[in-house]
Amino acid sequence: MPDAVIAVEKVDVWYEARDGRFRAVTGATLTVERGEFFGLVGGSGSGKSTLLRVLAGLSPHFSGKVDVGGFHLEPGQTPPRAFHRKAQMVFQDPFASLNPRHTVDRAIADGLILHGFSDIDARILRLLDQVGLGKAFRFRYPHELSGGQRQRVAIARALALEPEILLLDEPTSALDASVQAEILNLLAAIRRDTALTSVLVTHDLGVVTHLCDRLAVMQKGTLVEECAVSALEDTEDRHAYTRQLMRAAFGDGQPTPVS
Amino acid sequence: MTEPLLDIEGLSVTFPTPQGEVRVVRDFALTMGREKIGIVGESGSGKSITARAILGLVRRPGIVTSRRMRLGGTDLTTLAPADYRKLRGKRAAMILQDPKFSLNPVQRIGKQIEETILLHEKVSAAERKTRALAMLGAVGIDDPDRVYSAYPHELSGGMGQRAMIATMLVGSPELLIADEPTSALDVLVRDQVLALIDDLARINGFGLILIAHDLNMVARFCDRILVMYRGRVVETLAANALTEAKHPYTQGLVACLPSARTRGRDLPVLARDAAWESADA
Repeated sequence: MPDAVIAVEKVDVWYEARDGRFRAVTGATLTVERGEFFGLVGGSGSGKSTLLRVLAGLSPHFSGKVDVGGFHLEPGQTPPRAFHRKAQMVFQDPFASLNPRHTVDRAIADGLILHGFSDIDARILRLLDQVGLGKAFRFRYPHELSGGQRQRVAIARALALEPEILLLDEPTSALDASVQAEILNLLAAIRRDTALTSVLVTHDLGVVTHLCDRLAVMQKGTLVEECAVSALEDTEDRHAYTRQLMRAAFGDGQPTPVS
Repeated sequence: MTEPLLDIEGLSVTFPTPQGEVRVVRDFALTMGREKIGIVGESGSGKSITARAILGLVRRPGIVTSRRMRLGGTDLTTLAPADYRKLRGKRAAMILQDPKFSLNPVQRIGKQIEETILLHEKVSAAERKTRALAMLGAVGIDDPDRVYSAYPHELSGGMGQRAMIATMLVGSPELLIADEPTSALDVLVRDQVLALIDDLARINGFGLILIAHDLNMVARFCDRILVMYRGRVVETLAANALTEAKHPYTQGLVACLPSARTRGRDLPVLARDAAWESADA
């Protein structure tokens, strides 16, 4: 029997606006199984990041069933602290997601202290090593790091709590292609070494086909298609919107050129 | 023999710093006609500052030097600031990355388009408005009247970018520089905006320099590609010959893109070589 780590059923998500509610996600239903890398794809405003924030317990404005890592998330309530040990998030913009006044050491240590971990020193060193930074970076400030290095810190911070689920919101779209390759390699290595389950939000189908097993496509707040990444090859069977995204990513059905 | 649209040789831009001079553009050369040139490179490779240097927009303390820089018949190296102002908007124009930051937020779109005409031509207010509305129609806006009297914050990213293209093309420039015109846009809107620029370039016959970091996009769109690395053009190649790139940096940029073909293995990572920065690399 498949082991669902994330189960979302008939979920609506909305934002409160002056003139009532704006519904950003409508009737989303999906499951992600243990150990799977799942891509959530769509254009701007499709609701993909909004749905991810619900999975991370960061948005209480939803209705429907949301089970993440054995926790049942209640609408309108902040999830318990223990939930955040199960699910951690990496955000899009590495320039905005790290506190500019905290060193790398503090960025990683805060979560560890909050969750009562012991031997924090050793853990930080191990994490920095794991994300390819090394101990020389430990006491640097974000402004001393490049975009790729900052994203490595954000990943180290997320991994620090030994989560089962890693939620990634466009983790490479602010980076140069060559730096993106380094971060994708890091994520692949983490996947090999740990039993992580991951949901990756992106607009880039290239990233999804490289890294993910299955994907769901969102358009205007609705999941229009869910399929295995390998099924993207059967272009004719895909939803019209999925085909549009594929054309935008690969040109006229042609995958990216290889060297 | 007719003169090329743009003819540049030995263009360098330097900025003084406490640690000495930093050369952010080194010995840039380009001769182009009314064609589509792509300039690609990573952040900090000098692509945007090259564009700004061509349009005389490098601010102090930046220093621009060149052996030759000509637009049509005009020598840009000796151009006075006032003459550069007459040239910008009329003969050469630039589209920037994010319409949110490059349109004036407190001025209606129509006025911003008309400003270009106002600065360069003596025409009546009625004709300015007619031309602004026609231009909005030409950039694919369905409801020109509404957009004409709208403020930038009332428009979506794609619409805003169309409006900016309208403000830049209303003066019928010979050269259009588009600096990452689509990187703030949604993937699908991106293709629409590129198709629009392509159509307009064909219809109006202007030369285009497209600056971007997305190699595949530039390859699909342009005729020739210049690859910049740390201020220097390391390779120039035909856009359809991307797979035949000779320089290891270009090869690296092509190879590091993720796709179904790279599934299950690590992406090749650029091993940067100090020699790429020297002239004979």
